[in-house]
Amino acid sequence: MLSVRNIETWYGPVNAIKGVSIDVAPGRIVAVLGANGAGKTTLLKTIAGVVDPFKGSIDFEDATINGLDPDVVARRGVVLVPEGRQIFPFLSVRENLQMGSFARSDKSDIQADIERIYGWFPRLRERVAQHAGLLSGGEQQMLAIGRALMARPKLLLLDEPSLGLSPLLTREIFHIIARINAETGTTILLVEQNAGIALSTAHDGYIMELGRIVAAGTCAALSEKEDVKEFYLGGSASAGKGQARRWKRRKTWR
Amino acid sequence: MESHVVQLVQLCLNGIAIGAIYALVALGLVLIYKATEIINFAHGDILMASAFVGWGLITIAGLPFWLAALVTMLLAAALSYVLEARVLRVIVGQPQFAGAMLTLALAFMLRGAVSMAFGPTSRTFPTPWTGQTTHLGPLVIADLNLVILVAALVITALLFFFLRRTSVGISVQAASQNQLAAYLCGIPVKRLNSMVWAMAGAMAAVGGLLLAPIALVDIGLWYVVLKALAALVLGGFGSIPGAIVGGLLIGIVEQLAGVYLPDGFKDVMAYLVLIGVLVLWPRGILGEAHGRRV
Repeated sequence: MLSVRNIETWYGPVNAIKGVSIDVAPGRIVAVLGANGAGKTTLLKTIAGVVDPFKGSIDFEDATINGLDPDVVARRGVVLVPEGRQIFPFLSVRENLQMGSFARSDKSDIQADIERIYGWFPRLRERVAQHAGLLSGGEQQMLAIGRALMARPKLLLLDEPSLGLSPLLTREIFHIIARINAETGTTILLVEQNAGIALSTAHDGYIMELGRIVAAGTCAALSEKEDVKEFYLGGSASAGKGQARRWKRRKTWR
Repeated sequence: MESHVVQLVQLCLNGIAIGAIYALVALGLVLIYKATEIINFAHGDILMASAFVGWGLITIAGLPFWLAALVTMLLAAALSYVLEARVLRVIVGQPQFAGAMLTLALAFMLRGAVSMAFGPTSRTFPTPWTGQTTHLGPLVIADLNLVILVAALVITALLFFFLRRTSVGISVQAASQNQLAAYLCGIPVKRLNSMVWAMAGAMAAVGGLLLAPIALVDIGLWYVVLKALAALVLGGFGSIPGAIVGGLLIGIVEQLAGVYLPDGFKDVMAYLVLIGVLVLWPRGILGEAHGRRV
């Protein structure tokens, strides 16, 4: 469905992505994991057209989408929920959701779609007429996801849905992400630092480090890998070898 | 009614009419500022050029007033659209003073072009209301002032309806509140910005066509942008109701100062009031009390 081929992205002199290829199959939830500065957010921004790749190509449903403006990419069906709850603070919750469906050609089912989103996020229904800027962080994240779903995306890109949320809310959001995928068949590509919850929700996973993909596979297979357990799941792989020497161990993928 | 009361009311009415034009110009500036974060110093020159074009269409081409007004509005809208799409888009992402310098340069170029094309003499054109008055008790109101007021009211009402009720209008608000999120919603932000400039240009044309019968068709008409900027700061920068209140207030203050204060105060008084208001309410009268939440 989505195929990213050898993209390189630069921020001025900084090489944020150094040749990344990933594939997303229809109907799957795909997680990209990695530490701070690994280039995960840049990857999503590049796919969504917010930044243009310096090299490489991005194909979505057999059409090249790199180099297009972000609004054009969104209208093709690739919708990004950016990091940090980018909502419209002085519009009401309802207007925010309506903006999500701005580019849709079939305006008839919008009311039904809004109802469906209230079904997933009942808290938004209680706040319909409020300015979105007055919502709590978790509610803003829900609104941002709901707004993206109003576009009826074929591929939903989620950037750090758990950022700044309590563990309880994080679990709630991921639960809903899994539900949305199961109920609508929407393909989801998400980027996360919280590897544990991402690996248990997603089907396939990629691990990024310093601008490169260093591991790929199904989430079940990834969670079994010793390196992943140790470095991302805080596992006990090195427990028997002594804590003091842990930093000396080399990650095998380097 | 006593004669000095009549005079006071009369002056206020004149002030409101002039103020309505300032408010129209200020509204155009606010729209542009909110959409593209640029203070368009060329706005007054678009207004001035529109007055000249209107004069040309009416007296040289012999078009009826309404048709001339429509054509002028379309031309001003097209000019503003092209300016945004071809010139100002190039400096997106540059510091704010780049926009200020660029629009100032455009202002001088427009001014130069108009004075080359039409020469420095002032002129006037007839409107359907020139010289007619309406008597309201002891008050005598020029019909032109009434038309100005009605036009300003209608345009403001249309603008409010557009921004609050239509999907495209809400998307204009959305794009000004969070441009990245607007892009990601599939809102064509670039085309929207050009459209906002075109709307502001058409409003400037209306301002020019209404101001010219009072103040002559003259290169100096661009000065109105300075009054409009003062109105904006007075009302609270970035606030649409503030632009209207500020414009009306400056119009009234100017008229009163012209009669009741010594010679020379007419042009200064507006700015003195501005300083006074800013000392009391630094955000302006209707300025947004809350900062932008990030």
